[in-house]
Amino acid sequence: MTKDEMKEKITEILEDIDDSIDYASEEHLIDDHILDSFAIISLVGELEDEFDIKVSAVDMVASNFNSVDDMAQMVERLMA
Amino acid sequence: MAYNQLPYLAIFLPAVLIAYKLTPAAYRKYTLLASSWIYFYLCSQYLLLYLVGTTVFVYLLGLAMEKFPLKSAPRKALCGIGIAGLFGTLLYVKYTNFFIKIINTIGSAGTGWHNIPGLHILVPIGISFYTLEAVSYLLEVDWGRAGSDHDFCRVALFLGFFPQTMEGPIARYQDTAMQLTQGEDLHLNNIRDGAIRIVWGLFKKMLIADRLNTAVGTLFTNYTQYHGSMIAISGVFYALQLYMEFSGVMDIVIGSAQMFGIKLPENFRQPFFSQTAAEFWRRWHITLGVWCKTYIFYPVTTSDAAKKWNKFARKKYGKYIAKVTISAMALAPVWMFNGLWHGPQWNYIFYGIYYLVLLELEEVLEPVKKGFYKKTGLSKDSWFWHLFRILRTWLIIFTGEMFFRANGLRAGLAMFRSIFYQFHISSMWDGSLLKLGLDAWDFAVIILGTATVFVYDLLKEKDIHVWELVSQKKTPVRWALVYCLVFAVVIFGAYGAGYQKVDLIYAGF
Amino acid sequence: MEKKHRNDSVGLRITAFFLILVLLLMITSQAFFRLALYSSDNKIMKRNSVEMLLMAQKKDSIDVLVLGDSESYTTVSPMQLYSEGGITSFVAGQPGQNMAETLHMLNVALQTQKPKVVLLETDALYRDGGSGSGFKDIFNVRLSEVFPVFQYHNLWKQIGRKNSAVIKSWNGYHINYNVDGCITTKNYMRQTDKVKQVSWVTQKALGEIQQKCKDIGAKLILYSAPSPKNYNMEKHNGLQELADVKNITYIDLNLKADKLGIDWSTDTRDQGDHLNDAGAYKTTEYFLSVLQDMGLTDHRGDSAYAKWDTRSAKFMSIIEGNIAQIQSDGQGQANASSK
Repeated sequence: MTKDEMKEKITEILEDIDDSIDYASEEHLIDDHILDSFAIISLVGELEDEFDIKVSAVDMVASNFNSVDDMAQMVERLMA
Repeated sequence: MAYNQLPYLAIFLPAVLIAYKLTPAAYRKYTLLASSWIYFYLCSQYLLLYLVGTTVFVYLLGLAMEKFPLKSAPRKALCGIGIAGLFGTLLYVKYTNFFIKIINTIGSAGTGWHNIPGLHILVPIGISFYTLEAVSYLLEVDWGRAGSDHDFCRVALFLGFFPQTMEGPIARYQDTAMQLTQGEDLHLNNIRDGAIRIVWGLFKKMLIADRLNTAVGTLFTNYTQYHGSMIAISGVFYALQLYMEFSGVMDIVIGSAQMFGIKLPENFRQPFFSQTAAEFWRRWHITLGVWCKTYIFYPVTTSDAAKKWNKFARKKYGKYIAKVTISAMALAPVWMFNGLWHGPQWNYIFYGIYYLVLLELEEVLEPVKKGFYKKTGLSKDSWFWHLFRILRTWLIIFTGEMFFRANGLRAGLAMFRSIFYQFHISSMWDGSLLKLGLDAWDFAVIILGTATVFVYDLLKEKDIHVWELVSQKKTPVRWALVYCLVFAVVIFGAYGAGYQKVDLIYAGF
Repeated sequence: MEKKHRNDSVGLRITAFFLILVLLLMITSQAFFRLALYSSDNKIMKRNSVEMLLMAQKKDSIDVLVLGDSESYTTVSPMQLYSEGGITSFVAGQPGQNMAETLHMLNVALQTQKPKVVLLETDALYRDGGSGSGFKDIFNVRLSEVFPVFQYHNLWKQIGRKNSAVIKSWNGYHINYNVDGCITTKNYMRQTDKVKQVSWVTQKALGEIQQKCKDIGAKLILYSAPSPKNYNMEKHNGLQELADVKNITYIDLNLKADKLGIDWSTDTRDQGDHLNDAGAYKTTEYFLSVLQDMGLTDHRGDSAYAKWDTRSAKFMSIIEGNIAQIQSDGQGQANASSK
């Protein structure tokens, strides 16, 4: 899976959670309180299923979820 | 020596600033630590030993954990021992008598124990706050997000930095630890901005919160003598008092730290503009919410059990049920903890459950809400709808704070019930309000003060920062504004003859 | 070079800022102090009102000055002392007055008066709970002395108001005929060897008061008001010890309560915390005899004190009525409880 495919997939999951947000342009999804913690836990569940990874409490920091890029980077790291 | 009193503002803080300035940069952290422990000693005398003991305890545990690799059993065990020790101490100090009372109550129903005498335990200042910080340090080290700290002074300052001692903000280790030992030079800009923020905090606390205190005390003590309408007002008054008091003291605390070039985490973000109860808790006592989220909510939701259930529920019952059940699973411990953390009283526990139920309801009703918007074509963002949601959240806040302040859960429930009986809206203008120990002048100050804070918060909400605007103005304008603020506090502050000294509310937790 | 220049101007600006601040504090202080002198609204002045009343006394007219917290103005009644012995006195006591404020009050009195006797009620000596609260009190009093705006700022409420409530105090004494008896007084002065020490900050303040009295040739007397709620033998021992060390006369009315005829079922307004008019009458009688023995001038009939004659006569007629009512109340209560 290329990075772009991964991002596309993540965006799809995000849009499923809340389709009123333009994920391509947002870079502070957490810091600006656009995604709340309930959205994050749904997201984590989906990400784990989709990419077969294990997200733990240690990874639950804003810098891992602020943008689609950040999320892709985390997923990549956890897949390794 | 509370932060709003002159001995702190006019003597202690300036003295520490001077001592800090005179110390060579490399040793400044020791100056800060010495000042912090002196401050703690002045508040709690020899109970300082609790803080020092806690510091040594987590410092040594941190060093020991380093000897074992990440995720290894011994490392986890050490962290577990640490957390058990920390919460054990907190439980012993604050909750022993509560448990003794429960045992006695149960015992008197049957046979056996019912006469266990209560213990006389002195509570060190701020133990609820620094304990959470100590837990943060241990968990961050355990998880590997922070390295074990070899600098004892840094750990000690992280737990005991004097502006934070009494009522937070509750910092996570990575929020403040590194700044505290930096020994940054004093900068005029920092000192000026910090000082202005302190005066702003005094404005909120002394003009509004302390003035309201008389009325709040009267209403909550003699609640049986008032109509439902006055009881409803008691909730509004207390919510206002608590906001002005807690956020005002936070301004003083954060302003004090700012003078040393230290940026403490914010505790409030215009909470009264929240549209939902969940949003309110992301804007009110933020650091407690962040602590709960980081160290309870996420660990629970990312635990194996939660994940297994999530997978299973999603397959079997669909995403909605999975999300609702998982959030219930994670919210329950968060809110039980939040309630109990405030102290061993049933109304605090009730307060936790109250928000647990409300937040869970918000989750459960999410699809209904979405359907409603779709069907009616109403936009979430129309100003009318926006305002409606904000006012609805106010109702939730006022009710919650009424239970929070009530003299026991039974009183809280009785007060709540009475709102629905004998609600005479005429209490608002028939003079009942003037029988609470406040006269029309007092209310004028409260209203004008609140309006000032409201405008300030509203501008901040729109990302307009008043002091930044002011700092671009010419000197006479800037100075005049500062003098106005200072004299508003000096003249219209509720202090001196005829006013009771009001203890810091959150310092009691 | 340029940097230095900048630093200079910054220093100058800071100095200017604080100079203006101090100037503004002085101006507002003056304004509020004037306002306070002409204000008689007890509701706003609250505990400050007695200080203003003290300042308003005729120069050198007070022979006996009483200092202390609420226990002081519920035990000594100046109008009675005058009516029965011609002794002029003033009770400069505030609710919850601490030692720093007591010292301040003495200073205020000495600006216009030359008392021959100073009676200091001792409850204030234990108000300092230690842990530096004594220092805080001193700091606050000093601050108010330099900038009275901190003491009188609440008078802004007075601005633009016409009818104000007139102070209803009789040279510091407040009339009170409520009866809320106290039944658990037995043996509150039980013998013990324990000693409750007076904190050293308070001791220092007492030393200062003693020195000031010496300077003007006034005799300082410490006394404890009868009050089961506030006193016990431990405090008595601490105070006696202190008085002995400092060579001050100490009178503990708690040990004389029976002799004075204090009836705890009728003579207290709040279950043994403070006396009411009936109780204060008895303690004032005692002080009258003590003061008369000291050879103070009897001013009765002196035309310069004509006002005292009329005021004290008016006061005594009120008090006698109150005492009669208290006694009938007490009778009623006793009857009710015996039934």
